Amino acid sequence: MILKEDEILFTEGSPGDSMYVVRSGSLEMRKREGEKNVSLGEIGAGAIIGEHSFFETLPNPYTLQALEETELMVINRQEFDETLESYPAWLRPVLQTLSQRNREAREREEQTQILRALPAALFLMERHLQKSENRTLDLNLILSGIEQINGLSYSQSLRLIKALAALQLFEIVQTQIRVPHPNVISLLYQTLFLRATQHEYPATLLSAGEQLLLSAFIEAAPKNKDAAGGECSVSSEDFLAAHQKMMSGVRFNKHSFMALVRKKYLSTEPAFDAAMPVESIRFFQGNPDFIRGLLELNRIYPLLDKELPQKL
Amino acid sequence: MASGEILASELPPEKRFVPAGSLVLKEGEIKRELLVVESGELTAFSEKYGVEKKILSLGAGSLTGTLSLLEGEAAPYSIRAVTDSVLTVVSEEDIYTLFRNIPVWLLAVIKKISAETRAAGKPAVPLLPNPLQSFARFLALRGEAPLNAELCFAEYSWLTQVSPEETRDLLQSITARRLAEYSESLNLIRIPNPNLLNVFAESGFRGVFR
Repeated sequence: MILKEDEILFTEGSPGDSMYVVRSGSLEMRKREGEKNVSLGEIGAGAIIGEHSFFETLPNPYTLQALEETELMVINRQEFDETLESYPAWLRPVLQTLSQRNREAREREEQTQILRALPAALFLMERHLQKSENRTLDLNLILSGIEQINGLSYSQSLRLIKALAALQLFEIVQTQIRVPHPNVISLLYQTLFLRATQHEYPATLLSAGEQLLLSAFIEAAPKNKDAAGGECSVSSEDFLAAHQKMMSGVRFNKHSFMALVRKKYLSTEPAFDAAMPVESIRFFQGNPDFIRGLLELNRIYPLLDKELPQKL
Repeated sequence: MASGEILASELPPEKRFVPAGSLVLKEGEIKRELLVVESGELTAFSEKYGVEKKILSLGAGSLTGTLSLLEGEAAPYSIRAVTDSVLTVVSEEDIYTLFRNIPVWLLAVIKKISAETRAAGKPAVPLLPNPLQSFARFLALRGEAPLNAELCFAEYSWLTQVSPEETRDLLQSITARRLAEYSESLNLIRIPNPNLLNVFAESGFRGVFR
């Protein structure tokens, strides 16, 4: 088969029903990445083309166009089957096993690359959210940013963003990302960075007891104070009633509360110390917006290792 | 293709009779053989947690051991004959004899697939086509606040898999262009004008500013 210059061998998405060996000449690989048509490089003499799509009966993953007059050897399915008939029957399943294992290895590699770009995605979102007034980000800005900083392709970056949206970290509305709790992105980024670099348990990750106490504070906090984003006080009666309502029969956990005071997530009036009876607290104080972010972080954090790879 | 007859003589298949109840392969064993079931029934099982767990049944036409034969991998499970069975055993020597006789294109396809599989298992390398522009974008986004250099290198390395040592070299290239200032004594990086650094990064991505 001879292709003239600029002639297309196959287009992205067309059925992959043949393999090719380039005898002479060269071709350019191109792929759609969002609205762009990206060049993936050139293929020259001796290269084998289309074997993955052929063995796995998948569409061609890219478009190939001849850069000059190019001669190709074509192996279609009929020719392939006839060739195999001349050899022992076990050769076909051997080829299938090799191809399947290759596909699994490539999928694992791609998944690893996508997951490794998670910090870059969070970094970009955290940075751009600081400038956003309405908790909204331009999807394309984030996708092209991941490509620029990490090198992950546009389409793979989109897979990552969609997987994070599936965990309800934010939602994608047309070409925008809407983030309900912007401080969760920042907290998540810092928590993952600490985990990766300092090998210590980040203070932002809470025990079950700490989560219950913070949830009780949010339940008791005046709802109209949330929007202000500042500190608020909750009376001891309201706090303990909310605690009882959330987990009936569970006693106030002094040890967990002390940990929250040490981390400065909650404080009391008068100032709390371990020897103090709970009854002598008059007010509980904290920042509902920040605490809501902490609780959301603790919902999302375990999902990153367990569920994010499955959502990709 | 006439090589079918040649192969029949070159690859005398070793037929192996396996009586019911006998163990054919033990989990973890490295045996560079491909087993094709000609007749009978076998069972593949694992004893990983001290309990025998059936994985699959192998009947006439089933095949196992491709990766043991070609990649030298340990057997992922044990195999025992359930009934009297006959197996064709393909050795390493048999398959290399076959590979010498198959068309060149088919051998090239097998080699390419195997090489790709091996490469996919190697440690990840940075995906970046242009680390300098990537680092410039990172610093521009970090803004004007002074950055602790070691933390900055660790953070950028975490985002990109570019090593902290390489990141230090990237910083030198940026400071040489006066787009950033680095105080070794204070271990601080300052970005006097993030917008300018952004322009540098943008032009690099467009391939203009080389």
